[in-house]
Amino acid sequence: MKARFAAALSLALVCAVAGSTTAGCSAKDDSPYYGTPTRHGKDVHTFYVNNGGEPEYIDPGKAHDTASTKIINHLFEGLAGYGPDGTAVPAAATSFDRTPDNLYFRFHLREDGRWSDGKPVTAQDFEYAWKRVQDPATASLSSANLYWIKNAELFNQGRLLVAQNDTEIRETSKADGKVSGTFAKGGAVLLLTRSPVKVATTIPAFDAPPTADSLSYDAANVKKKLPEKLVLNVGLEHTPVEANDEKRLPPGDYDIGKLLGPTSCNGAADYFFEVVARDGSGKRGVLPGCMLGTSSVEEQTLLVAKWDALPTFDPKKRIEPNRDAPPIGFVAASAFKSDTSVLGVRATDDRTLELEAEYPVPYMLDVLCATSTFPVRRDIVEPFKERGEPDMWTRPATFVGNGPYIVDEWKFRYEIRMKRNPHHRFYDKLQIHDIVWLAVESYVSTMNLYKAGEIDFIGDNSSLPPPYLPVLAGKKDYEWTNYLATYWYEINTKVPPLDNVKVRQALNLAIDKPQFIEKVTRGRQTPATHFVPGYTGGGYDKYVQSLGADDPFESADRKYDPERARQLLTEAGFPVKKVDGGYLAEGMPSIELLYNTSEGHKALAVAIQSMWKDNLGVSVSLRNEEWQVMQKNVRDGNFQIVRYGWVGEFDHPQTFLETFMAKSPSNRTGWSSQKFEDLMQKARTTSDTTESMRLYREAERIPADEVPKIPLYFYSKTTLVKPYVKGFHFNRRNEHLIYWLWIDENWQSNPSDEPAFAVDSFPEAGAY
Amino acid sequence: MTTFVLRRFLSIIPTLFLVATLVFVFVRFAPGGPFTTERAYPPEVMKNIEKQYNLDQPIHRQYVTWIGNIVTKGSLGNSTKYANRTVEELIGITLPVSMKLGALGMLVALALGVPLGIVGAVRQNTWKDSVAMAAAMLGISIPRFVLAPLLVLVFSLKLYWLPVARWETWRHAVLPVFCAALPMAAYIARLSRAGMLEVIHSDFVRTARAKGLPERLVILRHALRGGMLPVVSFIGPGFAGLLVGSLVIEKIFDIPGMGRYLVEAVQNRDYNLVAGVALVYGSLLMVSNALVDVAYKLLDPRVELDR
Repeated sequence: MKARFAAALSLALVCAVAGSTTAGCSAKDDSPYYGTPTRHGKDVHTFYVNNGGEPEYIDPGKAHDTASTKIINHLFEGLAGYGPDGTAVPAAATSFDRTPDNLYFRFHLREDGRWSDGKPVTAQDFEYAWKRVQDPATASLSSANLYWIKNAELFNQGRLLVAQNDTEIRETSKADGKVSGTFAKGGAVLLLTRSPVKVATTIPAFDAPPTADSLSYDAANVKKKLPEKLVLNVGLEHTPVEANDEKRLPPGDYDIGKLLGPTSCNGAADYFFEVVARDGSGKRGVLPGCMLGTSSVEEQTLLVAKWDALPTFDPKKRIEPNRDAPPIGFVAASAFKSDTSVLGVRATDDRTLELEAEYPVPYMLDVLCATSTFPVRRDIVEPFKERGEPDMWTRPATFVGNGPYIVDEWKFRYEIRMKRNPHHRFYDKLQIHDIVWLAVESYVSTMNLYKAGEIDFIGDNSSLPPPYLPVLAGKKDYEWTNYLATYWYEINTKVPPLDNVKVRQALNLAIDKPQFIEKVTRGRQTPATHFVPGYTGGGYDKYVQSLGADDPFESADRKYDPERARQLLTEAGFPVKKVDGGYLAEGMPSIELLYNTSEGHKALAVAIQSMWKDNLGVSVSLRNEEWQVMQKNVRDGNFQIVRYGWVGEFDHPQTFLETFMAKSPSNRTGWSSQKFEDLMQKARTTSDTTESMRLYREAERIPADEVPKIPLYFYSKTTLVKPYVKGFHFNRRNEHLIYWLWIDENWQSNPSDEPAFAVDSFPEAGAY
Repeated sequence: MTTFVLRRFLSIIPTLFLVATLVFVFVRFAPGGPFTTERAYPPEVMKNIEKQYNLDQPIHRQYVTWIGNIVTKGSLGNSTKYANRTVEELIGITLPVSMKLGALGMLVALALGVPLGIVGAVRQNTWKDSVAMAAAMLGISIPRFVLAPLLVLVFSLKLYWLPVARWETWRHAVLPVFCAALPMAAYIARLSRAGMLEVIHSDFVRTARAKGLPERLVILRHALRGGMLPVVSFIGPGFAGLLVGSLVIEKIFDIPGMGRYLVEAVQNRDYNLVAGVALVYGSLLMVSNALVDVAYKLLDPRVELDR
């Protein structure tokens, strides 16, 4: 024993001196597995897995972090759920109908769906849950996941209102304004603005709406000493409007006079309004909505337009929204309320749910696997909401779910134990009766626990630290897969010199992507020349395969080419000269690269910094910020190049390309293209898959050419799962539900790797 | 004595109040907020969520509500990150674990450090002294984030004697407690050596020796009491430091303690939790300092309290 101890200690000391405490030092380990491949004293029906952290919300409608969604996936089930390979399989629904244009859906729920208190799962539960997520009062941070429901986005923003009784329409915002008609009870309106408004701008009001395609507006920032700024954009012309304290409208409350035509401000649809001072001074002027504040005057009137586009649930009677409908006049705010009847979802009976979509959703089954679509029970949730404790119903004592498992014991930030839901149809089929979810955040500790055999699978939310990868590469319990996510750098295309497309192209071509994958990220990621991973589903992967060698994104002119990069930079007005064995881009200002504090992002940023320096002679400074601070700065446009990535929300190119739309909250680049938007719209509404994918690809070429984001790599995912775990199929969604798994004590002699029980699949969709 | 103790403990309250106020205000100055995420949410949604946490009010109003809830209801509010938990509940779950780890660590540190220090002092400038002090120096110099993985590597992954992590049986506690104690023990060894040296050379010890008492009794009965004064005054801040500094140990050994919140809550802008944790640590530190003052009085008759 003594000798063994001494050996271990000296090994440890050597490792400590060498600066590597774990990875480098297990190199001597020549076992085919990482750690022990046998289980010690553990029940074959209990599964141990790391969840990577404490869930924030166990409420499906509110969860937005992966530690929560993983747990919710076992405590609830949606209409569809993830099968062993990550594709959608039937869950609460057994079949569905749809229209060929993917705008109308009807789901048929199973008869034997049960909540954990024994009550049947009904279509009304789903209707309630979906409407609840969209209700602004729920304050769900995942509401955008369900914006495919007709009218959901405007409703969620509080802009779709329904008349509570017959109401007078007035020509002016004053309560004694001339009545021009009545608005019937039950009708819906689109809120254009409230009146009165607060005016506090130092930018002088216009006399009439100025000529501009769009506006960019920044409020003053006292802390950074930035003045208020308004820019009028006409094509590529940007005309700033200076603040002027003398010509400004005196600050105070103003009535809305009239609406003077649409515009767009900071990427969002907006209008110009005439505002009239309330103090009787007669001061008036024209301002866009984005520069008007909320007034504290209690009695408010609303300037509204009629909203006809209510759901009909009938493809033949579909009413397309008219967002540019003229205003009908002013109505009293008190007569209107937010009303869920404007949303395109309804239960026609206990087991039938009908959906009218806002836009075509060819990937519908996939989005139904997302936890925000999972049902919750009105009779459980509402009492807590009324009590002012809306999040407390998820505590174990009152919790009711409809998934295969229920919570047995919950130790905060330590472990969650689940047992089978006695009312669930899987009760007798499940091989795993209990799941123990650890909440270990440290990757190294997770690895240690796995090595020691304390956990059977490191879990979907754990990553293997890059230094371990060389050691793990040959192990039989080490698994690798492509992952549906792209890592990219977003460029602020509004600031010089990055507003020049040639500069952006040069930066892209000067990065040797295969090299940093080999040297820095090391996880066998795929170098990216575009934005949608080639293995994305929905038909994209098949389309790419059919292109073969003709794939334009695989052509040589899109790959690493420092020579051409230098040429492009020279053409952009920054001649690249050879200086002492290196290069110097004359006149090119230093560029700042921003990333959120993390070792991995830093290593990559440093590598790219040196590639730009060596290949282009461009000097780059690095700035790292804590995540929250970075979000704030990026939103304020206070960046040049910033690191982001995108994990596919569903298995379809739409999820990646959507982030290039002008209105997407995930487009921080300031870049937009009408041609791109048109192609996207066409692709989404095309029912022929091949043609639709061709259009998506054509759309993708525009940002790939103009480089508002530099694609770096398509993610890969690596994991460790013990050899005795069966039914595990590592998939690109990284969704591995524990209930498909089983533990095989005879794993060495039994080659079967089937899931724990048979997996259903959806029948062909019926006609809606 | 009673007046002193009373006064000493009452003086904590205004200081705590000040700490609470400063933390409450400063954490709100940090850029971003608890709901700043990648996606910009509709203003209507943000309004409601801010209302739920009272964040739509001006800061002084938020402050009054917050203090009011503490005084009247003993409530520190809900965590913004873990929405279905209150701050007092989070602290209630995690503080006992940290206290246990800290107390055990302190005991082990004392058990290791004090004898080492005494040996060093009594056998000053011998090889025993050199070895003891070299060990202490080493203990102080190795940071816990190096020590912990080393201990795991040797005792768990190579020798299989102890579990790699988690907080279940006494066996799970061995490595983390030892890891927490070691640097502390080293510091205590140096403190007690210095304290003992000072006392050993003082007149009353010489008198004791002159009386012909055996050396063992001289040390244990006469010198020890005075020699331990520096150690005693260190126990208070040392214990608090052990709780605050347990962040690394909690992470590596997956212990559900409170240490991590000090840093994490700030990163998450979990305003209520930041303030709650600061209050708890503040009071722990101040209470333990007050206890040390009292212990001082008991140990050293020269200490005047009522001045």
